[in-house]
Amino acid sequence: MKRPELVKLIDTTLCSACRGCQVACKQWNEMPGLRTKQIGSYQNPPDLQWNTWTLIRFQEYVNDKGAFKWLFRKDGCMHCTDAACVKVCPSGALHHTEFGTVGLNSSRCIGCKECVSACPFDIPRYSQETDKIYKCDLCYDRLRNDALPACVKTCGTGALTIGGKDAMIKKAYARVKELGGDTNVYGDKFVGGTHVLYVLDEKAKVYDNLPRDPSVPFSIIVWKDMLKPLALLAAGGVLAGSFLHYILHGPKLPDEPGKEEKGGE
Amino acid sequence: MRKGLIQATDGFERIVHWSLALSCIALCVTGLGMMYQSLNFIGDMMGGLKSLKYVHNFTGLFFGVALYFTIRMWWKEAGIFSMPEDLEWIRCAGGYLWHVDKVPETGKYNPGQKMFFLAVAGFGAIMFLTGLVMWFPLSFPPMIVRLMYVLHALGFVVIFAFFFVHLYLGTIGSPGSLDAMLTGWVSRAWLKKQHPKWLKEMEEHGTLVVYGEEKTAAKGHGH
Amino acid sequence: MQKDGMGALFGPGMAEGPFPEHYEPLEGPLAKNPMSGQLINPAIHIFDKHSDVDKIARASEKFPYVCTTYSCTEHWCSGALTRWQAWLLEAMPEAYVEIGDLLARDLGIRNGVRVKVSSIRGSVQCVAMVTKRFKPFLIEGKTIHQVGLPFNYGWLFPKDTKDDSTNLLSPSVGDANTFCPEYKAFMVNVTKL
Repeated sequence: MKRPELVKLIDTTLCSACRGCQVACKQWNEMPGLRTKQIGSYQNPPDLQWNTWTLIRFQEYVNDKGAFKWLFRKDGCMHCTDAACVKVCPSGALHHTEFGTVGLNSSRCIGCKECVSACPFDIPRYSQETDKIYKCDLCYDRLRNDALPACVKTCGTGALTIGGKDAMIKKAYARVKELGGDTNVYGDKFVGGTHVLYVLDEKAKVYDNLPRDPSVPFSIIVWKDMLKPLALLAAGGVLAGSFLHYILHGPKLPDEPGKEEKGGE
Repeated sequence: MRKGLIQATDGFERIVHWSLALSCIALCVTGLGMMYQSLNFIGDMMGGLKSLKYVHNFTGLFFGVALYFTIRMWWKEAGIFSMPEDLEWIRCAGGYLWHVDKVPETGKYNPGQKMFFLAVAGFGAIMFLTGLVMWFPLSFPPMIVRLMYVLHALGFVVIFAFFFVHLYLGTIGSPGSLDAMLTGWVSRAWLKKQHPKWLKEMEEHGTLVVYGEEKTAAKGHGH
Repeated sequence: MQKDGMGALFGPGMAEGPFPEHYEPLEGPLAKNPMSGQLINPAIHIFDKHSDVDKIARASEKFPYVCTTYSCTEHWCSGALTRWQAWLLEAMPEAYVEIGDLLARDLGIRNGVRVKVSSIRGSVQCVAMVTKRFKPFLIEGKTIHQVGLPFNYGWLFPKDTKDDSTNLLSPSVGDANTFCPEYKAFMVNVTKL
């Protein structure tokens, strides 16, 4: 069945940091709550973890005019169109779904952790216990059953919405136009367009752990798009060359006894 | 064994060589299974791609040990070019590619073999070190890890290509060579053709070991 | 506020009133109400001041900071029910005291270290959360700092934490009609551990 390409919109200007999405995500995905410590922040767990696929990042920000703002940003998988993790995944555990999102087939994951260093947003997390990586799959199972992702479903302020790609991009720009100031749309301009869009309250550079201009790392392009085919080309070339050498030049045979010092063959 | 055959390699050399060779092949095969999703089925014979990962990782450790002995054993013989005859040999490509009236005489290893040895030693070490980082990528900064993947892939391109060169020249491309690494005994004719200078050296130093003849002196290999 | 829930400038039938008036809290930084001669609400019930938990330290140098209490989103009331819930406990694991960055700098308190908050009635130890969100007040020409603690912790679960209840600090006083507790403003001191 043809499914529409979906985009989740995170309007940070509406987020009240209640963290309902953070808990709902764990509930739907049956991820355990682990013991944490208070480290002097409302942000807890302090970072994304194998059991925490979405996290509200709290940040106290004073702009150059001295005005104070408490910034909240729901962090999690951006579901890139040009996804570095899908590119490097050796087993196909990470894949593009019919919704355009990046799905994770956990049973195929071999725990190689290549996606961890590949991701420009630093999203996948590894669990020593299961030797697998984990990340948000935008509730693929719920989407398949025409239900909203758990985080969107639980959001009480309307900061999280999901819908068709074009409509959501339009909605994001309309919201930014309405708000004005430094608000901006984040996500549609890089890595082929992400399937999670932000309406950011401040410029992207202001936010912690948010790359300003993310891209598929150049090393991965060299690795996967250049060296990978080159490996086959080189080996194939050598095999073909060896065959040609054998039939055209011939093998290097020892000289027959008595016919020494003639050289060449 | 036939009378008159000459010992080209001793048992230690052959064990080290095949430890390196077989682990290298196993690494190439398992590596291919992870590099190309269409070859994921290679993992099926090991009980899944995850087991294949472990086979690859631990074979890599074995490869590292074998590589250490390989380098220690052959460094002096195959790691250093002797000028100017090696340069001349390279200029005429050892007579492998076009007709050469007089190929410079080579010792135990010709410059082609030396280049192969250096490639294996260099890129093998790169494979081992980058592989270790890739095994524990979370302990290193992502920028370093990303570079390791590229180097690992580059090493594979080189080693995989060189592997087939080695396979061809070690078997049908140069008949008689395989024996040097299988039984260790080669014919005098092969030795005269392939490594004439070495033959002369062994004869001069009295280190030549001929099957069926009494040893003239102590064994030449010092390890 | 009247019985029907609506506010009114003239509100008869209450313990105080009938006109609106400003009173200082039972325990505050001021010894004198700048608005009138009556410092605190005269209609409230004050318990025996000789009891340890009913002592008051008004405008005292020993307890110079205004303290306020509140709930965090993740826990309900004292947290005795919600702290059993692993997801909520993970998000809000321990008691903390929010301290303005200026006061924290004065006291040499770094973010995330354990501190002692004490009132004349008792003391609690918890983690300091240094923040720009708490800004000092300027009251009668004096800079008065404020700190804040959530009231969602103490005694019960989890067993391996030493969190005390914020109730150990707060005064037992309520409004004159419903005894809605006055936990939003009282005086404490904060010290490094």
